[in-house]
Amino acid sequence: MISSFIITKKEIKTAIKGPGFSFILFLFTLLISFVSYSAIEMLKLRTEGAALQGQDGGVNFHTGYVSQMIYLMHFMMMLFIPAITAFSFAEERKSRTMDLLLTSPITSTEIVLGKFFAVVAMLLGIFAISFVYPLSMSFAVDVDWKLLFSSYVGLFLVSGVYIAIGLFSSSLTSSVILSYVIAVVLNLFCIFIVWGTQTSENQAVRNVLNHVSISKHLTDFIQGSVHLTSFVFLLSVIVFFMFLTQRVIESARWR
Amino acid sequence: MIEIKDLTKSYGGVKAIDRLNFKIKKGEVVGFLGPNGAGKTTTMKIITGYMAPTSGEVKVAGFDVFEDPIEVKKRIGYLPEVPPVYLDMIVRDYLAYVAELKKVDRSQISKKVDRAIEKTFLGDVQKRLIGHLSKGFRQRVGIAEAIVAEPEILILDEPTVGLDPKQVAEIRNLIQTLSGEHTVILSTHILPEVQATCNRIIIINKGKIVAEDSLDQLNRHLKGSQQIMIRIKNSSPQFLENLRKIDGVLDAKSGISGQILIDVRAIDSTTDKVAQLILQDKVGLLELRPVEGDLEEIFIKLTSNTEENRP
Repeated sequence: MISSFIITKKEIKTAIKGPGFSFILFLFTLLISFVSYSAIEMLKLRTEGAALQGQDGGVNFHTGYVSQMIYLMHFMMMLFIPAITAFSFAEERKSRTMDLLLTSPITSTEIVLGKFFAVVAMLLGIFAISFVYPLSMSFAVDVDWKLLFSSYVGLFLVSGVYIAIGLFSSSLTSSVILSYVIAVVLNLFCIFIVWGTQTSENQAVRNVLNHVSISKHLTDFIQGSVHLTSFVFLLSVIVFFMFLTQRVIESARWR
Repeated sequence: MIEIKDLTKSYGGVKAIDRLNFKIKKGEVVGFLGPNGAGKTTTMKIITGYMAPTSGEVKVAGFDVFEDPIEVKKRIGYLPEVPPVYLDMIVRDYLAYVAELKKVDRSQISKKVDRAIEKTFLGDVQKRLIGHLSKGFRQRVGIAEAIVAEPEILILDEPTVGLDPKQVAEIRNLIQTLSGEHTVILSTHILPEVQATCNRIIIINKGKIVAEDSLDQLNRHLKGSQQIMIRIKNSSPQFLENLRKIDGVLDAKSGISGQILIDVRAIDSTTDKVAQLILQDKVGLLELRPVEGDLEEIFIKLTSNTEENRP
């Protein structure tokens, strides 16, 4: 486990010094600032509209602003996380530094965990930036902190799934671009599975699809209905893809 | 220190190495020779625990490579064909990272990094990005990576590729200073390098060991005779005839510009007699020396021989 943190530390150091992660942070900040502004404008219009019709407090800050932001961040995570994870193993393969890791006294599980924690740390950095927006809003409106927290937990778990998928696709190839494409396609698949719930006629199939749909779980978290099954499902998807990654890394020994 | 028994590795039916057997003692410097694709890198990768064999057994310092890979990896410093360096890291940070990965005690890291930098002459570039260094420097960073944790065993896959002659000499000296305290396996195509640094040579061809001995012994076995070269002013057929009559001389052939190559059974006992004859016949001696064992010749002989023997 300690060996994992050696890798984590090195990955974070390299990410901070290099241009790639900073650029992603820049893009993220740019996008979220723009969206935050539009969401506030929309919220304002809807509140005014509600006031004109004589309704009081008809528009909720959480549904009107926070959930919009979380949905948008979810979409961005789906595209940005693969951009970070794509380098994790593909780059090591390409530059032959994988040889160093595989001949060091460290297990492939520790290698995979080390990489995972590094991306999780970067993700927390991104979340910290995004948190500035609801925090600054809290001076003007009443923020439902519990719902905000559960939304972030949901987003965090879903992002964890994207990290695990990204690491897996990165372990498959030595091409960073190919790894990115595979990861995005897998992520999209996780989201679009929900469409099956609307088209399938069999109730049992619909139930299963509903359960494995990532966006469905995220919606639950955002609405504050947190189920143990969501935790179990999302964590097991993470563990599943980490396990696959570990097997792929380990298989280098047998090829 | 290293024990290899019946090691076989096949890639989809093609045998890269075929039932290899050898032992390496502590403190030995062993040259691992062979043409391209002979199985040198595969064997080295298996010893480091990077790759699993199809069958066979490898023990390093008493630990089985497949049962205790972590213990084995702690004891090995490995320089692969392509130095495994991160181009976006500073030389010093990189070596510290490697030391950490190799489980070097935290308090020792900076000391050991200093030592590795000193031994590989990287002092001037230690604060630079590896990506900004030339190929030769990167190769030296690779060597520093292998020695930074002061492992008991060093496995170097073509360590002097891409270095200039001065650096090659420095690395050779380095390998010589490492012998004794470290066990070193060195793979290379560059034969003088082996001649200069190794106590023992293992020549491998098409996955099989074709010779395994010290350079002198190899030479003796292969030729069955040794040679003395002389250069004289006045060569004559009569003098050649006289040479051939000496006890212990097998043959004498004259070459260009007064050179004569004499095949003898044993250099030690015959050189004196040859010298006596030269003085006696007054042929005007310019040069007399034993012909050194030429590894290149041995190498070509061995690696092409097995080819002919195959169906």
